[in-house]
Amino acid sequence: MNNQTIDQRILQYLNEEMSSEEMDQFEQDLNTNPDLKEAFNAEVVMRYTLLQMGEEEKTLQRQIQETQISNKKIRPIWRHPYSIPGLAASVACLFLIYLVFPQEDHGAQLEQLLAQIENAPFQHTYSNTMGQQDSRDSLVKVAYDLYDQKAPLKSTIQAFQDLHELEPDNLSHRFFLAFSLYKDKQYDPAIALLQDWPEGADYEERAEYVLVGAILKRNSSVLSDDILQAKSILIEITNNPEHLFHKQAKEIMDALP
Amino acid sequence: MLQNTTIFSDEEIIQSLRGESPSKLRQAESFLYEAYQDVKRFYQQTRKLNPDIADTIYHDAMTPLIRKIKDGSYVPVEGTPIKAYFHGIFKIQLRNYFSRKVKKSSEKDIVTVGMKEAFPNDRIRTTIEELTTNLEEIARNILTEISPACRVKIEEVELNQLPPEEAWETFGFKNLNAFRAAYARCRKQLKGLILQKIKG
Repeated sequence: MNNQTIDQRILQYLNEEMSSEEMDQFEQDLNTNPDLKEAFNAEVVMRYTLLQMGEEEKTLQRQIQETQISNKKIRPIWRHPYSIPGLAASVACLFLIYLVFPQEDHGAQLEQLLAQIENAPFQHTYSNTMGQQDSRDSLVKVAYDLYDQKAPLKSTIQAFQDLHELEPDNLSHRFFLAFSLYKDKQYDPAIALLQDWPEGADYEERAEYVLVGAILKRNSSVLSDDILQAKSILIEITNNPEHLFHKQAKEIMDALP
Repeated sequence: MLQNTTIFSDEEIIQSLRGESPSKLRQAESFLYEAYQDVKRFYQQTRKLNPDIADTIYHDAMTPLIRKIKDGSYVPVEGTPIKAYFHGIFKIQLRNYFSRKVKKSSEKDIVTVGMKEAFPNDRIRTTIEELTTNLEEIARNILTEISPACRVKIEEVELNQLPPEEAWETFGFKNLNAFRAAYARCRKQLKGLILQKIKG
């Protein structure tokens, strides 16, 4: 077995692109072929190290946000005029609201609404019986078949990425690439694809809906600019009763803190 | 910004900091303080870092950079500028600064990636667990041993998706090809470290 074949088989195994029989054979070979075992271990360590690096990056970003928010200088409340009577009135109002209105768990409700986006059965217009006339058609078929079959997201993303590179102006490929990235929790690249969607173009309303989800999923801090951006998109959607996701946008808006 | 300062090449910086002339040394130090301000701005923009904190970290990073060049522990790698190395030191200081701050307030620290999260498929994970022991420890050691300049390049390009077309300038390379070559060396260094750990 040459190095290229070894690498290819390792990637297929780790990316879950092997049949059950092929996996059996691969696992047997791991025990008998020291070269394969070493290369497999190296790839596993590489993937894990990069994931750990990514985790440390996320932790750093979270630490920066948390520390900077807690470090913001706040003017002591007793220095504001009318602060004490104002505070007393606010407490009384809040107490009344608490007594009169039923309480809801906004965070859990928002999570549920955002989960609906992830599970939305967005349909495409490509037929899965389309003939394989050339390499482009074949790429299209692979990508949309993977999407329809709910295949592992990494493979679906790769297929749509190839298509998007081939036909960057095709909004269907762009949307399904962004949606697959969203499902894979890769919110930043999904946002980059969904932002600045051409006005009035295909998939615009679906792109707006997923964009809101990606922005809200990316950032848990209610103080961030992202939340404001999400709100401004939601307001636009809720102001348009014809919008495909008018009802959903209203529910998300209500669930926002 | 650099109007009143002599411009130094990397070789001249090293010579001046390691040389005998106090005036050259001072000039090289002030050049470094001015010339790498955009490193600070890069993290202010990409991490929304508060300018005061960015300033503190910049000074925290500049001190070890100058010391390492002076005492010879900085070994120049052909084609990789000092600025890329400074990025790496800045990132270390950034992590140290916030790790200290957060520990004081809520005791949170870096989270280790769980095996289930890293390899969600049960069958594949079982195979990995049977073959590769102490994966977490190996990864931790690699992250400590990999050179700061190399780590920061991987972090920014692979994890934070900084396009190589922008990265070469950010890290102070002469052109895109020089950056690509350095990046390939860096990946090779990482692979070498991994093989060394597995065999060791």
